[in-house]
Amino acid sequence: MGDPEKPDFHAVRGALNGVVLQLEVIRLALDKGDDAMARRALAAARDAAKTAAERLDAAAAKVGE
Amino acid sequence: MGDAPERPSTRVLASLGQRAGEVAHDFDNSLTAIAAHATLIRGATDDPEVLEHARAILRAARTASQVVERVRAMLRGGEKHERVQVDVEALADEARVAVAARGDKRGVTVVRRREGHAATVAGDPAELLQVVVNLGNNAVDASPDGAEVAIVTADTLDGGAAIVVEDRGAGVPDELRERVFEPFFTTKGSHGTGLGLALCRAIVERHGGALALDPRRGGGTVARVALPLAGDDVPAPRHATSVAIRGVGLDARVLVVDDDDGTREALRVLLEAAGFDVTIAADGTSAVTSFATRRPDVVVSDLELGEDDGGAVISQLLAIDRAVPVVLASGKDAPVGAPWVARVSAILRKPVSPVELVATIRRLAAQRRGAMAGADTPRRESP
Repeated sequence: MGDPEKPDFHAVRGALNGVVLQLEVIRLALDKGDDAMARRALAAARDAAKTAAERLDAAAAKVGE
Repeated sequence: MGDAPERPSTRVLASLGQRAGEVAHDFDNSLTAIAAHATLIRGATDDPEVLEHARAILRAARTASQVVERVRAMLRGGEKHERVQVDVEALADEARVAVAARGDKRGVTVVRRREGHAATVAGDPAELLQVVVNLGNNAVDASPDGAEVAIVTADTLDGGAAIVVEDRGAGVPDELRERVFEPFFTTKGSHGTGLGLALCRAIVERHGGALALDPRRGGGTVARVALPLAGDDVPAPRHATSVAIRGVGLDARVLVVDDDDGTREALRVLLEAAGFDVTIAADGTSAVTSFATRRPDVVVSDLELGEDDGGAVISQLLAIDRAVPVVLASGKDAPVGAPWVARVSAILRKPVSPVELVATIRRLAAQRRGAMAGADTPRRESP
């Protein structure tokens, strides 16, 4: 949706949002003692963090860093 | 005298408790199956009538499950409970938000007053919140239309902390003032389980405190929870506030629209844990379909929805129901001057704090319920 020529830092924020939410899910899972839920959320948090890093790299490349 | 009932022995009570616990366990398993099938029905149909019946089953199962949990909670009296520091002011503030939602539906205003020093007690925050919300809900139920319920924090004469809930209802007759704490005794007929006050007193006494009902000067009832202050050895809570606090989600329906699978699913899990009835949608078409069939109380939407424009989707939803509160959760700034932006109730910038999101939804859902009952329409909040 955005301008493909411009660095999309908003997309980085979106991916970081995923990390924050999954961390909260992990906390909820630990409170409930639900190991399976915690493991799923941990994997999702890793994916979201990886996505955030990739989007940050892409944005940085567009500003020449 | 002479008619005083004989008190059962501790051994008999323990045996009764064990049996009741077993029954509660079996009953809860059946309720889980009922709720699971109702959820499957809800997901398998778009027929509004069937959906409404499925929702009714879920609500009934949830209520029954809460009764089971209350029985269990009373039977847990002898168990060891983890105690952490609980900020009494924050606890009363949180309770006011939950009770105000019930008050909005019944034309009762719920206010907070601080008459004591800031105090910290030792306890289970969720249990203590349950006590104050329960007392507050009772106060709302007992209040006439247009009356005020006050949740007051104060000091006790012996240096402890008190949370007082005052109503201006008909009051509790002298002869019932102790009986209302007996399990399964209720003044609400078929609407009450008779477990609320019994459980409240059991929880407060487990915390080393006392719960009493007294007449309010000028009419009504004063429910007073007195608790000892926390000692230096009581640990701080692992987290100050948790969206996992149960039973205060107002039973509101929330539609989450987000194109990211992980975000959508995480929001569903977290918002359900906070007590909301959640529907999720990945794009504009499914958002509009879900909105039309499920009529949510609050919508949470992203701005970028893959191929769809979140602003256009929000406009479509507002065209169906112009008063529905919409929370925009986005990593991008909302476009300046777009007509739909002025009609969004709250804007949260990603990464969104889950606690702030839950608090915002609770506030908007309460306003929405108030608006539907004839009060003010939802107002725009600061981003």
